Amino acid sequence: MIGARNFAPLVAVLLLAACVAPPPPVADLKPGERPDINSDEAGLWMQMDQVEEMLKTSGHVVEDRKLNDYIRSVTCKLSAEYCQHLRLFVVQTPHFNASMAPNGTMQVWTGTLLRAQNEAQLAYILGHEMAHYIRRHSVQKWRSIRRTTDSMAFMGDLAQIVAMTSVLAFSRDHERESDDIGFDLMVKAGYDPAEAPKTWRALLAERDADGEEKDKPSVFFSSHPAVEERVETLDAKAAPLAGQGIVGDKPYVNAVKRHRRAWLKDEMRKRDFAGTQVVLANLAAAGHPAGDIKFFEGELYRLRGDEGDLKEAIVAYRSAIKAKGAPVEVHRSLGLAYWKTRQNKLARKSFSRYLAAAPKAEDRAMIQSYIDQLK
Amino acid sequence: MSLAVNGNGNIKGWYYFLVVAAFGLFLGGCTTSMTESYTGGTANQETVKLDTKKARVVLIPLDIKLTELTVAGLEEPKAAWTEQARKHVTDGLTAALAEQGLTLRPYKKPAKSTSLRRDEQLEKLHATVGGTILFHHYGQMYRLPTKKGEMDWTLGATARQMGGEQNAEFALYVFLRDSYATGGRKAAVVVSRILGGTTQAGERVGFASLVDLRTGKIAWFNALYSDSGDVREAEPARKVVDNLLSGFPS
Ligand SMILES: [Zn+2]
Repeated sequence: MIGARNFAPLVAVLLLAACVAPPPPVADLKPGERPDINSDEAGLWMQMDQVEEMLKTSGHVVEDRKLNDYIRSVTCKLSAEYCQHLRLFVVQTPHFNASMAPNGTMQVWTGTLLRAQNEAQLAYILGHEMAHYIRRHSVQKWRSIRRTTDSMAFMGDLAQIVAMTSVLAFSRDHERESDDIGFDLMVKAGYDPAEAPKTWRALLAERDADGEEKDKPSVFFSSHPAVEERVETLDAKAAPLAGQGIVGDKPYVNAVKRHRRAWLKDEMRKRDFAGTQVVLANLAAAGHPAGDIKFFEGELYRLRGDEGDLKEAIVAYRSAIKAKGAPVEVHRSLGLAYWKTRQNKLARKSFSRYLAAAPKAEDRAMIQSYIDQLK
Repeated sequence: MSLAVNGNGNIKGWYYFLVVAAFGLFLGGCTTSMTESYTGGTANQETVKLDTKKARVVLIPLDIKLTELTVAGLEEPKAAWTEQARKHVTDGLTAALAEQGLTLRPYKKPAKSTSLRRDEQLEKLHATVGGTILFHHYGQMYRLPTKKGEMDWTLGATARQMGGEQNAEFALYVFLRDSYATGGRKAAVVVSRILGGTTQAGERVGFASLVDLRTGKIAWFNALYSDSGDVREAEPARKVVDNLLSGFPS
């Protein structure tokens, strides 16, 4: 970004204390409250209203009514007054994220829904987002950016660093505050507090799965507190209350099961195989059918294609078939894995089983030609 | 805002950036008002003609946003200004074309969600295509070799469906982005100009298209760039509208 990046953060922090006054306190947004049309906050709302319109027609929103109703119902358990002023958008993207706009446009990404294990974890995530709305973090952030940059418009690069550093520090405080309020909301709604830190712990496990040091965002330029810190804070809060309350794994698994395969296919395209293995293990632990999870485990090995992976894939596909609940495609995949390892007879048998199980498959002609080749 | 470890959930209207970048690149610190107009049709076609007494033209709700430039040049969106400007520009368009004998038809928001989605996609497409036209037609350096300076842009065949539903032969689209400087920003501009810089005190970028809904083609296009004028008031807004409509077919 800039040449002075190694010492700049230090200088910036030294300067920070001197020149950035704490922002004035902002009152909570009341349920249904709309900002005055002449305010800066109304401008942000207008901007996000436009983004929301674009989001609606973006083609990336999962419109399944049942799934949306379910997530909305959890939001309403957290706060009946606020939930009716939020608009939920389930956005199809395989990464872990959720967001809240100042006007109440709430995005929950499918990568998040794939990773949450139960209703309590979902409630914690939704509570966190709701807190951004109630505490009006967007307008606080905007005012902070504006104040900081206004006072430094005539200064050079260093001023920009100081400005951005203070704004990002401000964001980290917002994240902490939302963690805190989100936790309180989910506990008050009767969910098991121990599930809140688990959300982050699973994410850590996924991040560190391949044993490589990922380029972790620097403390100074990240807008998020370290995940480790978030786990510790939530652990401490949850400890005295843990084990009390609703976990809700069955209703959650039930609500997302129709989408599991589509989301797992998206997840596979990331080609973060070590991370996806953690996701699969968590899905199995959450109570998703073993046949399906084993099938995707096989797909993962077949896609990765490292030394010995085809053998692993065959083992996974076979246990998927035994476990039941696997998609019919498991026979096709197993056939391909057999073929690649030159077990032609077994390959032919698997392809035939696939066609028997899915007589109307679109790729019927192609698979039939494989069978003919293998004769 | 986000929960992610390395999250990035920002959605941004890139076309605005494109538009401003296009103008900024070849205009630099231009201080005079200018409009450019290009009348459509390929080399083989006649310039589009419009029987203003008979033509059915639907006015698509304006794509408009007004912002305030902070001292440091950040843009703060202004809801009240945007609403005022929407009214004045809509009124101005209606009045100006009425003087040419053309009665604009109001857009009827479709009840069917598929129709609504299609119309919104067309609107987005107009903003994108409009930005691209600016970039390639008005920025001499960036002309597409295949387009040879001819106007041959289209919103595609789905425009026909909208034409059917709106009972219209043409659609008028208007895109406008307008920024005004705060007092502090004006001071910063003065300092910057003394120092030889090109800091902007505020600017207006806009374009209007007349789309032939029978073909989807952009029949007429006009762009506007200026750093003076004001669309927050009725009278100066009418001047902006007149500039924007210069060369409108009749
Ligand atoms: Zn957050």
